[in-house]
Amino acid sequence: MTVSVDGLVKSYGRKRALDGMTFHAGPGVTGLLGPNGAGKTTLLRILATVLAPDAGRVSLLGGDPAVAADRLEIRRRLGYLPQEPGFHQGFTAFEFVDYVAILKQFGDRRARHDEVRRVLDLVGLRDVSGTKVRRLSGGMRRRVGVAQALLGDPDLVILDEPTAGLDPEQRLRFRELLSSIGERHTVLLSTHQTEDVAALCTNVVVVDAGRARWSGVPRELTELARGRVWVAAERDPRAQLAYRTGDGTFRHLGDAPAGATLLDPTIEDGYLSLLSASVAEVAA
Amino acid sequence: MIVIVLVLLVVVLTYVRPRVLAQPPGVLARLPMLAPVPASALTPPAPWRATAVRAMPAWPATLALARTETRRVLLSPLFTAAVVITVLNAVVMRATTEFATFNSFALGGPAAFWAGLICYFAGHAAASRSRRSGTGEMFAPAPLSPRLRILALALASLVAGAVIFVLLLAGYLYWWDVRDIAFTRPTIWHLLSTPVQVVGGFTFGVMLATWAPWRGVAPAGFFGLVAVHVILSNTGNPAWGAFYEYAKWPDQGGGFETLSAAWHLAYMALLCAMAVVGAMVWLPGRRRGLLALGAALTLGALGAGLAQF
Repeated sequence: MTVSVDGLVKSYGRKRALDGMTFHAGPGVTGLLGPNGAGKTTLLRILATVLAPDAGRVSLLGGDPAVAADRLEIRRRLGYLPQEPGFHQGFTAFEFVDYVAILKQFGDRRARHDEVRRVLDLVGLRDVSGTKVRRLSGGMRRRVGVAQALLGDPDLVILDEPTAGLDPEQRLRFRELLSSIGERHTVLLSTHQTEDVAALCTNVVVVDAGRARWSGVPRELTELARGRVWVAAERDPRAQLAYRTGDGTFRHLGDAPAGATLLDPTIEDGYLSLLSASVAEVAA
Repeated sequence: MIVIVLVLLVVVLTYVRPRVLAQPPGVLARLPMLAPVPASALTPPAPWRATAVRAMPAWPATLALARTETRRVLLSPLFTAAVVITVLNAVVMRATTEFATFNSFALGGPAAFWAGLICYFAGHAAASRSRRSGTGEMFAPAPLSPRLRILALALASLVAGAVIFVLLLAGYLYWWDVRDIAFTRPTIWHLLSTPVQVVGGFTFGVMLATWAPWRGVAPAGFFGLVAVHVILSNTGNPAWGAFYEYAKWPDQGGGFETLSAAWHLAYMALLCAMAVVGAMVWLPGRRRGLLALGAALTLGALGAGLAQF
């Protein structure tokens, strides 16, 4: 396994962000799915060697990030995009990614510049690579962040909500890119977009309250809601979850309301079905 | 002439170079000029592939980072202001002072004093860039350690000091004919002591930004420096001047003071090194070696300071 986490605990004061998190991930794209405050970002920060856990064991790329020599080797094989990446506004996109490439100790200048151009090509920023970051749109800046994470063909790519702010076309292109990376390497990403998980991830881990609630392939997550998704003309107050859809009908999760029609579940249904506590909160 | 060359250099490095670097070399070679490249002229997007680039040891990477930081420092508005003020100061002094000499211009302090002051803010800005832009988390997993990033900034400050030195030397050679001056000729130690103020200002700014990564620290540090200067200059003991004056050899018609210029240079250079080590020791990592080095530098600075007399 590329990533192995066992009993991870991390607290911020009295707030316990991770509470015995355990999961494993290998080559492919693994998506972390969970509500806000579930501990996804804290987990990714620990896996990116930005934070140290309070307790528990972490193994990354065969090394222990708590050991200095291992940590350096892990960092050389790691690409990381934080949830809220900052950028040096006065740099051009090329200069910024080149700066990160230097921090990653990449080789001679010509090869490094070729590599910077390559990753900017991958995220579709070739035409604006000479533009200052401050003049780029939010989505373009996000892609600059993704580009720097892909520098050097890293064995482990950790992306915290990488598709936030991307337009539909870029999101499709991005899914294709990550899928191709996942064929040879390990990609770990967190997202709120269940459609991203369905279209992109080979594995999914549902995180809630600092723990891994469930892990498996996306199809299995979808199947969790099989036989429990209904559409009806009126809202049923007994439903685990009910919400109005665009066509004026009500989609229900749980037992069948009167006169309802059974639907094929989506991965979102499976996710909501799993998080019963969250479902109750939404229903209230 | 120097100003024109510098302005042209800044324009080329600021506006032309980034655009040249951003273009693939193959496409650039086919272009008759630096016009915007149409999408159709570009090669198709690179497929995902194993990259040829490989990580190198920390020291060459530190030098590569130092080159980048040097370019950014030299092109920063603050350093440009330092250069302009240095040049203007020389021109104005030459035009308005009857017995202007290199001594009174450079070693009397005003030229490099202002440059050093501005470079203090430039150093602080460079070292606090990551904090201000919020890139700390993104850069945190990078293999090149924060300490080596500080070292790269220190190397950049040396180049900034060298540029000011060249300017002062140009003034020395072009605007002051020292053969006609009855005063003592400056030695290489005198000449070098002036641009060291630029390095000192820059590295002190870096140290302060590392120690106190908060908004408003740069002006507070500046006023702190002024306060120390005022307090020491009001002690009534002129000997203190050897430790805090921005320049130690005022030309008052009698030549240079008899204090050792070489030791004064050593004293200031050691202060610069102390600032760099002080910034590095603040960052995570093993501290024992740096603390020992810092102690040795402190003792050295104290010894060099006393050896001036």
